[in-house]
Amino acid sequence: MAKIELFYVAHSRTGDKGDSQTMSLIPYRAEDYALVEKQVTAGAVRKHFGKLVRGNVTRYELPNLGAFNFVLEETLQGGVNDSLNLDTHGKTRSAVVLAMLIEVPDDHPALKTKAALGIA
Amino acid sequence: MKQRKPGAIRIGGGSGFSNDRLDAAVELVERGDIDVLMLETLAERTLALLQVAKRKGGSGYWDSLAGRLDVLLPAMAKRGTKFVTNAGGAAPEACARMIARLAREKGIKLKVAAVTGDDVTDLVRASDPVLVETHEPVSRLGTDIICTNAYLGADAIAAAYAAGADVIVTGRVTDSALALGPTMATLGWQPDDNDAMACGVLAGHLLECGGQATGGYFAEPGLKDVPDVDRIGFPIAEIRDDRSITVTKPPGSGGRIDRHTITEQILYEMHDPAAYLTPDIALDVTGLDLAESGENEVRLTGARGHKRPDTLKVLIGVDSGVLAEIEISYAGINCEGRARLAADIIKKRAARDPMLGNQTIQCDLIGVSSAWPGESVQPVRDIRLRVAARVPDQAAADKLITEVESLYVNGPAGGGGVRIASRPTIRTYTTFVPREKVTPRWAFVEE
Repeated sequence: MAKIELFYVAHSRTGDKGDSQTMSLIPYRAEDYALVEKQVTAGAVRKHFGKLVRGNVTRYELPNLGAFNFVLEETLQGGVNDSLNLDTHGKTRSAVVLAMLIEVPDDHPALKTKAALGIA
Repeated sequence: MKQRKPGAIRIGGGSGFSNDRLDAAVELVERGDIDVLMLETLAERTLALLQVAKRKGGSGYWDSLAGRLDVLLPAMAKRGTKFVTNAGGAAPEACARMIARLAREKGIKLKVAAVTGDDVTDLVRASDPVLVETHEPVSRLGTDIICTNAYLGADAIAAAYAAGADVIVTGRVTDSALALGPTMATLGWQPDDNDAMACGVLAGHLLECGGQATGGYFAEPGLKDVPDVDRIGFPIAEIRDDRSITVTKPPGSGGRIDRHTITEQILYEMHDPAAYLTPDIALDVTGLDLAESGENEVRLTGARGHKRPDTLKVLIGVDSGVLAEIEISYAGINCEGRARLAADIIKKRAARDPMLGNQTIQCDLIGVSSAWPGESVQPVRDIRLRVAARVPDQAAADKLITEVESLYVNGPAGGGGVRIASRPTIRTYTTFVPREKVTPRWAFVEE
């Protein structure tokens, strides 16, 4: 097994509702659904976000769409009403979840993609 | 009623926010073969800002609409395209009259309708419901309320469309209703047909953010490329009476429609995918079937609907003081150290200031940790210190601005490029009112 950033395996878009963040996670390859399902659990995301999230993290599975939907509660400094953050809505947070490390088999194509892209 | 295809309606999503690209909306009308152009312009706080402007003698609606319609109205009139928008803001009838006047000046004959009833100020004042945020009645807020608006559903829009309106202007409605209303009228869908409502709401949800469904807000160079991303075509939803939605974009436009772009938009701002709540239906996408039915074409079936809520969501806007944001740059070796010293100076001086002493002042290091939660991963050579605070009034904002500006001559070495922004802000509270207490209305207007 090899470790790789989720960035090379799935993509994500974030939205906000009050102090909650919604965050989709969509594996590039349908066959990676199970791998992501097993490793990117609500608990793993909670841990990855650390102090950024004070409330619950819920994961919804959508196997028919090959996607997951996360809801992170109490995470936006109270939301647009109160936040002094530059990114009030937490729109850039999709990049945070994609920095998570996951384990993939040594012959997983994402490893080649990463090597070819050569992004630091 | 004009219908290009029997048993189908084609709706174009002409904007994702009020100042979105006009060229893409024009392209939808001219090359998208659409029956309806939908223009969503009313973000959560926009209505309150429009109400503030109205109190000061402004129009109360989205003023940029007239300039856009200068271009769009003739194009729509030529093809008989209908137009549905929530740009009416705090004055839907005045906005509708403006459009009627504009059409007459251009020699275009249009039936313009306004949808009202979203202003529930009197109802909320009388019933004094509990706020979600404070768990206390509205009357306990103890502050001047700017506006109180319920999110209306599609019923009044559908009725106006069925009566032959060419243009329908609303205030606060749920975004998806702008698409669902014309769909109900065209396909004869009834409000108690849950799965039909779900299909129309899903179509609206896919259209309401414009280019976000067609490759916008998606590109990741090398990994998730979007063709001709500099001229993304806006989405078109063809909704058919078999309860399918086919999403396309104008031929020849840039962008990308496939499983990935559409799925990102389906889940955008969605909490429980089995119950996406709107005034018209609780949309359930868990049984959705998504097929890449052609190049840049996705067909969706299987949207399910569950009983619509008995209450309507109400947004209450109140004044929230002034947000001040000031930035200054530091560069080169140890720029992070100098930016941190500058932040320390601001915090110490603000703590001693009578106007700023009990205000929360946030200092961000742009280039290190402003949007990214971690620490810098390499030596940083270019950094901006951002100082932000929400203060009661402009005088306090000006005080903070002075403090940051003073870093020029009193702060660490080599600070430069100060930029200053301050603006009044709105706070929103949420409550719910019984659906039967709210009466959506529509009427044709004369200029």
